[in-house]
Formats: sequence, C-alpha cells, structure tokens
Amino acid sequence: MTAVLDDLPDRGGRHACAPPLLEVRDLAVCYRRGRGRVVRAVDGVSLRLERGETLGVVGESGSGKSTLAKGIVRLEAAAGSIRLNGTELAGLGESQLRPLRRQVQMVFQDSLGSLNPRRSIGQTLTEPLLVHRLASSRVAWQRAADLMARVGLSPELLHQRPGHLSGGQRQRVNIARALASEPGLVIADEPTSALDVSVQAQILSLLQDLQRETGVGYLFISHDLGVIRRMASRVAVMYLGKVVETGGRGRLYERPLHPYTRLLMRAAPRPDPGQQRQQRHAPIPGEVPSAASPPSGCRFHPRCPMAREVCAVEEPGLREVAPGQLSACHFAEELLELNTSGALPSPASTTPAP
Amino acid sequence: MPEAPPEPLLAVEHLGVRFGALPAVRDVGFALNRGTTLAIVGESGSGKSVTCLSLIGLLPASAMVTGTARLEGTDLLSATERELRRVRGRRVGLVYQDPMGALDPMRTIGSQVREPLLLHLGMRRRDANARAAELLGTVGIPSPRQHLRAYPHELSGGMQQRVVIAMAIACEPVLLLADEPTTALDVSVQAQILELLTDLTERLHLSLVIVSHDLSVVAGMADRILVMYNGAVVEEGPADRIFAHPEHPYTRGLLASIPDFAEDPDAPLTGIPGHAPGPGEAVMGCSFAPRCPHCFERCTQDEPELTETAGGHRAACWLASPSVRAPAGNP
Repeated sequence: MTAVLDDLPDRGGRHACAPPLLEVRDLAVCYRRGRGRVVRAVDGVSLRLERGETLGVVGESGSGKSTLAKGIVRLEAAAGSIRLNGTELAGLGESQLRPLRRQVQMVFQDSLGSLNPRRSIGQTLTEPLLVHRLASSRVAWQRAADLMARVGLSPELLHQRPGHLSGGQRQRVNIARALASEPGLVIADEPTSALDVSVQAQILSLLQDLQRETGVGYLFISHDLGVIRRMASRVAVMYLGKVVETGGRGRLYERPLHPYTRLLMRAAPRPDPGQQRQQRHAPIPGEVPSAASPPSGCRFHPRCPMAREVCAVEEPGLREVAPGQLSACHFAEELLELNTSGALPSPASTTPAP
Repeated sequence: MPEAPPEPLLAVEHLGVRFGALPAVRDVGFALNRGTTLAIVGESGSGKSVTCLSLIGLLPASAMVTGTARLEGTDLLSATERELRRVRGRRVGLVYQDPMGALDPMRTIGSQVREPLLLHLGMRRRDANARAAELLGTVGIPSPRQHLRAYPHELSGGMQQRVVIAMAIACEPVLLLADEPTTALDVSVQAQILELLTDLTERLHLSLVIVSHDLSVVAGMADRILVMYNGAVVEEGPADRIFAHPEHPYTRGLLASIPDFAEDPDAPLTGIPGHAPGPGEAVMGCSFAPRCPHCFERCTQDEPELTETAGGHRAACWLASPSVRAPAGNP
C-alpha cells in the first residue's frame, strides 16, 4: 500500500523548483529466512524530507526502523524508489552511487564499533581526504582539527585512539566524520541510545547546532518518543515494517491518531511520580510479534484495545485523517476528539487477545 | 509516616568497595523499610550496580568490600559464602539486566524455576513443579504448564525477564534486588515489567531495591531515591521531593537532561557539560565540581558530606547544606 504523502502541507520549497532532499516511495526490504520464507522487514514505506529538516522515525524493536535506514543508503537491497535531491538511486550501480554516497552519511548507536580501534582519531578523520588525494597531509590535518572544534572537542584528542575517549566524545568524533564530506543528509540511527542521559542532551543539542550552521537534514531514528519530540519537526511512527502514523510534531504529540502511537506515549517513562502512578495500569498488552509472521489485517490489532472484527481482516492504509496527519487505523476518526491522556474507546463486543 | 520509624529491613552503613587501588563505591549508607521501594540512580561508572551486587556477595573476588549491610539484623558483608548462598534466592531475590544471561540456555524454564524450590525449600519434585507453574502464572506468563517445558530462547525478552522474576520470588524472599531490569527491553514491554514489579511488591509485601540509570523509569515506583555520582551518594530522599525539589546540582542536571513531554520541545536541552571522572581519576573536593554550574572555591577543596536538608532529604553539596544556604529559599 503506498502512502499518499503528496497531501502533506507545504513545508516551504515544495512549490519552488527544488526537489525534496529525500523522497522514499514504497520502500521494501525483504530477508530470506530458511526455505522460501520471506521476512518483509520494511514493507511499503514512503517518506519525504526537505532540506535542513529533521524527520523523526520512532519504533520499537522489529519495527524496521534501522532496516529502513540501511535500505535508504543501499546497505540493504531494497525495492521501491529513493530519490536524493531528485536523483533516483534505485537501479544505480556502485560506481554511479559512489559520488552520491558523500551526500548521505550515517551515525550509529555504537560509537566504539563505528571507529577503527587501531587508528588515531586524526587518522580516521583525515583518511577520506588523503585516500582520495583531495588534500595534502597538512591541509587534511588542519581540516580534522577544524572538525574537532566544530563538534566541541579539543584538537589534542586527534592523537588518541577511540578506546581512550568517553562514549560521548566518540559520538562527537562520529558526527565530525559524518560532516566531513558536507552531506545534505545525515541518517542518525539511535545515536544517543548508548549514552548517559546527561551526555545524550549534549549530543542532541550539538546535532541541532550543526543543523542550524550547515542546513543538513536529519533522518533521526529512535525508540525514544521524548528524544524524537526534541529533534524532529515531522514524525513517522513505525510498527512491524510499516508506517502507522505520520504528521507534524505538534499535532502528533498533542493528538495521536493511531492507537499504537497513543499507547506508546503512555508507556514512555516520565520523570513525574504523580503522573507515572496514575498511568500504572495503561501499558500496551503483549509484545511485538515476529515480522516473519505478521498478524492478518492491521498488524497492531492483536494488541489494540480498540480492535474490532474488521481489523483482523482488512489492512488499513495510511490516509489523511486530519490536515497533514496520516494514520493507518480504520477507526482513527474516533481519536480526533481525544486528548493524549484520554482513555481509548474500547468496543464492548471484542476483547483483544493478550 | 509513623512517629517512631520502624526497624528497617535493610540498613547499609559506610559501604565501600575497591578494586585493587581503585575505589568504586565510597561510604554509601541507606535504610530500606519493609514493603518499600528504593531506587539507586546514577549514570555509568557511578557505582550503582556495584553497590547493589556487593550486598549479596556477587562481586568478583578482586573486590574489597567494607562496611555493614544488615538484613533483618544479620550483616551480609561479613557473612561467609555458605551463608550468603542461603540468603541469595531464599531471603533475597535477584533480577538482572540481561535475562538471557541469567537463564541457562540448555535447561527448560521448568527446571530452572524448580531449582530454588528444591534447593532452598526442600520441596518434593511434584510439588515443586506445581508451584513453578503457579509462579509463572503469578508473573503473567500465559499457559504456565506448557511454558515449563519451553527453553529460554523460545521466549521473548519480556517473557524471559518474567521467568527471572518468577525465580527471584520463588522462595518468598523479603527483599528483591533488580539491577537495570528493563534496560534491554522495548518501551511497551518495559512498562509491563515495571508494573509487574510494582504489583509484586504490593501483593507479596516485598521490599525492592531497583537500580537504574534513568530517573523516569523509577519515578512511578520508588518511595525513596538515592542518586549516586562517582561512587558516592550525592542525594537521597523521598521520591516526590527528589523530583519536585532536587537539592544537588547533579540531580537537577539529570532531570534537566531528560527530554520530557512536559517541556517546551523547542527549548534548548542543557544536559550537563563534560563527563564523569573515569575510574581512579582523582578529583579534589566535590567530584561533581568540574561539571557544576554553581561551583565555587570551597567545592574544589573540601568534599561536602551528605547533610540533611529537610524531612529525610539529604544532599552532599555545599550550597544545599543548611549552614551555608540562605534561610529564605527553598521550602
């Protein structure tokens, strides 16, 4: 099912001639598992990201959010259309992709695993320039020192190896490396999930500062709704390989129009004892099913307190329920009148399976 | 709160842990009352897990532990390994961060849940089996009899953690220690496990010590919170007060670092500048001073002691101590 994202409100630049920074249509990533069994880890996802914008992708394990990132940068074979600044990436060979790769960089969760432990930070940051003979050694090292300063690190650390740096410092190095080629798009996959919360805040605000300075666009992937809310102007919520809700941050957090989004928000721990005690009995029942055998109909229906007969049979498509806000729920309209803290309307006739 | 405080279930005093020359935990003290939950909160390297594991002798042999930890009067820190083995599983249940690591992959769920019943309670096999099924039901595992025959890998992470909790409560302990019990789990499953732990403490009148790096995770369940930084307690008090009136700049920084829904999403996230001192890194005075926005001369020279500020609330900060603090200020 293709999501109709053309109906999204004008984000500036849409009617200008410039194509969006990233436009993904009907992306699918499949794995073969065993004989003839195909797991659709990402199943028909469409996204659009404007220059200098941050699109947040939120989901739990098995949602396909990380596979989506790999599919976009073609680290995984993907079906569907991926347009970067209007250029179709699907069907391009490796040699044609190479110049485009500089425009898209990634930052991963594992800051240590992303860096070569035997190389100094300086060697890591100068390598691309030196290998491609784009600069002399002196210029490359000067540039590395500049990058370090931009991410808030002392140039003295250039001579250290990754093992000597703290997790937060290493993630700054990874960000510096990602920015070295002046990309238009950085895909950040849980970049702060392994960090302490006090350091996470530093890294998030660094990413925001760099966006203001360079106009880079972020595809920001996280399981943490609170982090996504700080970083993204638009949000896509994924569940079992599909986008179940997408929209502008303000509306989506104020009035989520998919039961999963709503329940995920209520399940998120918050630093508020009174509120947390009140929310005690409202977590999402059950666990995320395997992507290898997704439930029939709406994939969320076995866990959904609103589920009715039709939900087990018919898969709801992503459709615009409120201006700029799309939901893949048959009964999304019933959520229009509800604020975030309101209880979900539950149909008396059906009891969801645990 | 009653007038005369009851004898605490667990009283920890001057707990210290060193690994060789490196101090990991310094002078930690707290009291845990029956049926209450204490959360030990801190970031990596703060000593929160070491504090928790030292109580029941689960640190590596290289650890040197000093101080006392009295559980119903018995000092756990001077107990022999044999005595400790009886305490673990029998009087104190344990829930780990990684359920897969806590379970034996080669043995069925049933045989693992039965083990403490056979070992500590001397139950007969048949009774133990029935009780094991009952325990799986208690922790919310559907069709318990069937799951007794399952192997850990056949269960999801959330279900594995439920099994670990079933084992922990099998012998009806008085105290449950949970070390980051939900860190490896998804948000929706995390909420379920936290709810289960809260529910069990109420139903079984258990006391709980939960260790977490995340203040949000423990907000709804902790009666008291102990905040650790660089191996020492920097603040301790009733949970509601810690969230509403944090006294230590580190606690305030931690709270300000959380990207919560209640905050303006466009406001800058401040966080705490710098990073915690590494192991063995000596800091003169208050170990938070290098990162503290309120640091003044005294902070870099003398280490502040944990001082009571109000109603059972303690903080180790020169600005929080009543002697220096302006009389008209925080309530």
